[in-house]
Amino acid sequence: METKLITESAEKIVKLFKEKEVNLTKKSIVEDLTKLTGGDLELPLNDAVRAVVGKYARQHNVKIQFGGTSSGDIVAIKDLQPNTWVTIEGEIIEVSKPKSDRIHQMAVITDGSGSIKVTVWNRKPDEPKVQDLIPGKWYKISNAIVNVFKEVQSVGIQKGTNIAEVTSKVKFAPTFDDITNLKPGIVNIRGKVTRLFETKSDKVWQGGVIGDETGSINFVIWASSNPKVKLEEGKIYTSLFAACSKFNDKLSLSIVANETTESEGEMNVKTSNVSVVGNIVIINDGSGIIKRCTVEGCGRTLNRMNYCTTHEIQKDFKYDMRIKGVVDDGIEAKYIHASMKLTEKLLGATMEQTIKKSENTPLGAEAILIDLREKLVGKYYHVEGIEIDGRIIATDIRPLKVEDMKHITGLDFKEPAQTKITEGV
Amino acid sequence: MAEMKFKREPAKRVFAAEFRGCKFSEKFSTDEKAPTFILTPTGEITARLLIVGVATSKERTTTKDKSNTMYRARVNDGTGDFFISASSFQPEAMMQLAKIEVPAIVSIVGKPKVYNKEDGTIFTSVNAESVTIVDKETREIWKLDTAKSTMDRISVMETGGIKAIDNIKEKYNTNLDTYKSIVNKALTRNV
Repeated sequence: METKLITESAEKIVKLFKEKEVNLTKKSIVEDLTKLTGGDLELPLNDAVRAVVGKYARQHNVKIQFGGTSSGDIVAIKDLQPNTWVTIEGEIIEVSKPKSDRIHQMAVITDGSGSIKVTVWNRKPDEPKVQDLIPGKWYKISNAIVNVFKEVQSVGIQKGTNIAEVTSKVKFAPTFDDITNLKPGIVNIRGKVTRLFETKSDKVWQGGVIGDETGSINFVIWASSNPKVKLEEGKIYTSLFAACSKFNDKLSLSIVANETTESEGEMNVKTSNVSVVGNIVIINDGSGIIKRCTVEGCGRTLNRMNYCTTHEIQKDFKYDMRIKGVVDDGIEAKYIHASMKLTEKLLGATMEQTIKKSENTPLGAEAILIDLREKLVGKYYHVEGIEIDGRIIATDIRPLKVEDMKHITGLDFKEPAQTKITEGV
Repeated sequence: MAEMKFKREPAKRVFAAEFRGCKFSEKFSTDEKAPTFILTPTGEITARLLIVGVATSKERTTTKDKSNTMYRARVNDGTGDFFISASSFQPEAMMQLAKIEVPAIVSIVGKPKVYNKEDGTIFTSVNAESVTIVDKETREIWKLDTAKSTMDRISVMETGGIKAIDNIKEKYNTNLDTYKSIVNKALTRNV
């Protein structure tokens, strides 16, 4: 098998050099390749081929634009394998100017089977000029390499890569990926926004959770992508060419607002319901009564000076209540988040009463936080909710009873052994 | 968001009678801020404890160098006393402890410490992170919870085969019957 591949590669190399009127013997090339791929070196065949081509090109002083061992057959984007030389064909969806001056263009290309990032590297002045990719046009990209960086595949346009504009093909219907099966890369999804987060940075336009029947994922829309619309909770969207990436072992989605459209229909988002019995070991600062920025679509928490990190000092604000804390079952400490309704129930006071109290005490909102801590911390609760990346969004929190714990542990208290006392008498 | 970046150490459940016998602690990372884990005789490896018991005494004192005030308290869980301390490094716990009038049933979350005293004796204490007054119900739940955790650890140690646990057993020369009787004592009601 190995030798057959080597022979084939050697034949290709001989052919390549023949075009430049350089005659090489197949035997010596096979020997070179065998040496590089075998023994202690164990180079991948593609790299060995490149090394050999480079060696003979220098020896014979010829320039050979060689991109590897791509067969020239068009490969479907979904079938691309890392570290292979390929030829693909598809439509350019978007093009961006990268920060690095080593890169000429970054683009996203799609062929209906899937989508992938394209990195067009800058070329030296003496190398063939690289063609600009234009969004909406179709191209055939031959002899490009499939790179992998941080588990995300991309197609690299090297100096040996050919880019040719081709006639547009029929617009395909996008296929959607199940959220639970998402892998790093460019993906299409159709899902319902189940939650929107408070955004803490100017750079983030919106952040939240989007889910479909198979699962949920955190998403972000960067302000730098010039989004015009805001996604709303509870609505279903189709989102094309979102970039899925992995950070700290966690997948997240960067959604392109301009490729996201509201979609009709119903959707039952698969939620991971959890139920934890444990002790609330901490209630974090920022729990209790909070003030939110009233600027349209903002909702960030204001600090004591009514300062919003984006909209600065605000005259108006809206009160809200929440609990951020940790429930600990002795095996794992889980972050929990409770909304206004649950906070009212656990505090034993309505929002109105709480507002009144915080406005009439010198401690203000801190008095409510102290109340909450005194009432809840150190006690056992039964927490039910939805788990979203390690955090439980509580739907119910209720105090645990001794009887519940007897049931859970299978243990009970014993009366003192009377018999022993009689024995002693 | 910051809290999502690291995993919070869970608070383990250990009876006072077992905790007082702790002699060994271990750091699993050379990082200065990495937590110190204590090893308990039944094989718990922990950097945080949850304790529910009766605070029987408390005193306001100063740190060794007399630069800061701190509070010390004893908390009895029915099997023995925990020594609790809260210094200005734990302002929240210090304030809470200052407010409490003993005796009271308290729930404490804190970091366990094992000290080697100058005279060669080993002393254990808990640096409180939070102290709250709780009810009798919570104390009973904690006892059941801690009994279950202890029994689970006993059975893991009895079965053997987990290297870390086997090592602890060897270090302490653990007699598991001692800990079975501690559980028994904790679950037996006082007359």
